[in-house]
Amino acid sequence: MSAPVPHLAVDDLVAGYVPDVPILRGMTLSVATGEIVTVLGPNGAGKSTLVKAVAGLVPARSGEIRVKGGSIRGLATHRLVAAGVAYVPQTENVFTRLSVEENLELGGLSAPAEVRARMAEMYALFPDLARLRRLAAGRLSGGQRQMVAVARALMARPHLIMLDEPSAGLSPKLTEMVFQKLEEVRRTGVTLLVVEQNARAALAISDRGYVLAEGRQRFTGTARELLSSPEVGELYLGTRTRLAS
Amino acid sequence: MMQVIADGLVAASFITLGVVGLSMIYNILNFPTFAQGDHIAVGAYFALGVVALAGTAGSVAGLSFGWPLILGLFCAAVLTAVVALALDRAIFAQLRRRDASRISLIMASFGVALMLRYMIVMAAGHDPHYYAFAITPALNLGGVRIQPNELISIAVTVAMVVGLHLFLTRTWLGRSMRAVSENPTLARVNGIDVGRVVRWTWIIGAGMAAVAGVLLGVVVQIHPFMGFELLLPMFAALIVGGMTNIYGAVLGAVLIGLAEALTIRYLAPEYRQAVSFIAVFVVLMVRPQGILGEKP
Ligand SMILES: Nc1ncnc2c1ncn2[C@@H]1O[C@H](COP(=O)(O)OP(=O)(O)OP(=O)(O)O)[C@@H](O)[C@H]1O
Ligand SMILES: [Mg+2]
Repeated sequence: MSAPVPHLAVDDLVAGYVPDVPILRGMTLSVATGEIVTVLGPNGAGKSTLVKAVAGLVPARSGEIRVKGGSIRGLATHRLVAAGVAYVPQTENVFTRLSVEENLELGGLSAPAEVRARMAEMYALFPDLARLRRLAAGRLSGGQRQMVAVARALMARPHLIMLDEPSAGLSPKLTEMVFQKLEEVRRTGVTLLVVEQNARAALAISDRGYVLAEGRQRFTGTARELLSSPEVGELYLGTRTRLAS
Repeated sequence: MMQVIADGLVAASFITLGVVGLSMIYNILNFPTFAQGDHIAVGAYFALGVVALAGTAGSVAGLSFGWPLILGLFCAAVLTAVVALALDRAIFAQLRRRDASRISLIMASFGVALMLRYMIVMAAGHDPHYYAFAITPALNLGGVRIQPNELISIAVTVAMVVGLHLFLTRTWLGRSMRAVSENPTLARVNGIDVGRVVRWTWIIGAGMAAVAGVLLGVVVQIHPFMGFELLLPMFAALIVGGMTNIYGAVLGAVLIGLAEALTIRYLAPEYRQAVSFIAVFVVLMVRPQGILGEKP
């Protein structure tokens, strides 16, 4: 029996912002259908570049990117949604001048007929947003904004969602809330790839993880293995004391 | 006083129709195009061509023009949009692909502006033209004297601004435009084809400029520098109202139009051009981002 086709497979990917300066230098990663996979790594390791390359925002120089077995390398970013892949950038991930509702509507651009029904589902998943629907997204708090960003991405009914540091700048309580929501999202049948600095919170909901350093995969294993690996803890997850706290 | 307001609103209507496109292009393509003035002139001359072919058949309801000009208006809007699209493809798209700086794009638009202006001179000469020579009696609306043609200009402008507002808030393409103007990367991530939005921005911006040109030709006259002369008040409106806000541009146009009318009435017509400079100067001193603009 052959191994099941991974949902997302990144194979020996070389990518960078300018020619001859590769940021990713042969990154390999795979995410199985229904999994939550976390990518960890020090600042500047290339974590954001990895998800941007999958999203078609950074050109891939060599290697492959496959979604459900089909190559998406070189696909124009605006066609990603139609391929069932959503992406929540690390920064500037909501339209600040548009209202919460308009942000969600834009997320549902690919299926206008479904927008109403889908929006109701999003308000059920994020009840706070229903109350704030008329407000410009730029006036929301960091946690509320992050919810708008995730809801916006989910509007198109993606089967894979990539989130770049969804807990950046959030209090521990809000971080916990965001990850709880991500677990709920997974239960609706969505596969998740999460880039995080907050290793403990992310690995707590993840099946597996990768540690990315200098553009390559440094370690990989189950969430439990990564959490208990002293080497990983010391080098890439912050100090061991922080992990144990 | 009411007369000054009426005169100001007439002047504002031409500025508005031009500056709305200027603002959209600035916000979506990230540079202010100096060719927008000449889109106005190009539109006026396209309509002149249609009128010349179709003849100046009878006037409609007390106006100085007839159905050939109405046909000319539509043709002008479409043809000017086509010209703008072709120029984008030939020039600006190439520069964007090479990640050209904003200043390169502005300089290129300057070149395009000169090219359009002198193509008009070559095709139609320096002399002014008119769509028709019929003299229409001015209406007297409660002591305010206004030409039917001027009233039409204001009405068309109001209708187009309201239409544009509905387009931007109610349609998918309009919302996509607002999304791209704020954050093109996030717009692409959302599935918005930025290339398509850019094309529609030129179509709407140049199309509205053409309408401004035809109306200006009807109310005043047609000459090769008619659009270039509107460039200063348009940029003034953009800066006064706020570069990042299309409604600010409309507000700016109304203020500049009124200020021009006040100057002509109480100072002297020669000072008209100075109004734009003074308005820009005052706004830059007091509120650099413009009245409705956001702080960068
Ligand atoms: N737009 C860009 N143009 C050129 N180089 C960039 C760009 N963005 C990032 N880089 C470089 O690419 C490298 C990897 O950056 P990346 O943003 O992928 O790191 P990261 O792992 O996401 O870090 P962080 O944890 O700080 O978010 C860094 O050296 C960075 O300087
Ligand atoms: Mg990053």
